[in-house]
Amino acid sequence: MTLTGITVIYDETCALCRRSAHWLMTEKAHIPLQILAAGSPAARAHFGDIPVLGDDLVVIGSDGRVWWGSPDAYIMALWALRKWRPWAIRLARPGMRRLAAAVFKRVSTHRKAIGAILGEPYCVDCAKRPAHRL
Amino acid sequence: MDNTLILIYVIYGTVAVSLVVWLARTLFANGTVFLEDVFTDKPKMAQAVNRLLVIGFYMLNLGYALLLLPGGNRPQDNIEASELLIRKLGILLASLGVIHFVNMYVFWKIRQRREIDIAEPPVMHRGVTSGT
Repeated sequence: MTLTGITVIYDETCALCRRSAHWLMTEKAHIPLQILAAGSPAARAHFGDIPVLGDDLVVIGSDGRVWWGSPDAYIMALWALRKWRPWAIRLARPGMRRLAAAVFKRVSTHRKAIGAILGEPYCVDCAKRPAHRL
Repeated sequence: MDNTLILIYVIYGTVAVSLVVWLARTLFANGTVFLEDVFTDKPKMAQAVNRLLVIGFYMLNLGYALLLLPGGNRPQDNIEASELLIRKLGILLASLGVIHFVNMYVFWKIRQRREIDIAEPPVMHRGVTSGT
């Protein structure tokens, strides 16, 4: 079945994740993207049954399919974006997948430290912005 | 040798035009199959894109073939005359080949774009949730 949209749930307690969420929102996408903070009431209410919520990146398809962790959820987030879908397909191939898993895992594990170096995104509550470019 | 030159021009013109027409028709026939696969939901769109591509192909190639017609030293004998003809046809064919591959690249790009647009998720999901 073809997805008609995805929801991306990120850890809003880390600056890098807020920054990435903001980036996701500004990129042009193939399908509508909904971006939710893991601690938000909407995320808790709809997707509270997903055990890793908040610990790792979670992507939920419009049909209820769930992807989480490295590299699947990251690849899915890229897959939704116009400019990055070819990369998502490339990264999902067996050879690249292992490399992608290692890189995303490392970034995810050290997300607080990396976020501390990079600092806050230039709009602090930008992840709350509902509008999304298609 | 002016008569020979005119004969060369006539042969060249006939070969060039029939070559371009044949290539364009082949391109049109096969392009239809290709583009109908790309624009599955819009067969009219496939026809339109194909026709426009073929028109461009005609203009570019006929124009180029005509531009190639004059020029070259006046042939002094029959051997030089046939050499001139063969050289002109060779340049034309090689250029048509390049243009043809550019055309194939355009088709391939259109198809690749479409394939990316309709691609399924490249990774397997780990679970299913009821809340969406």
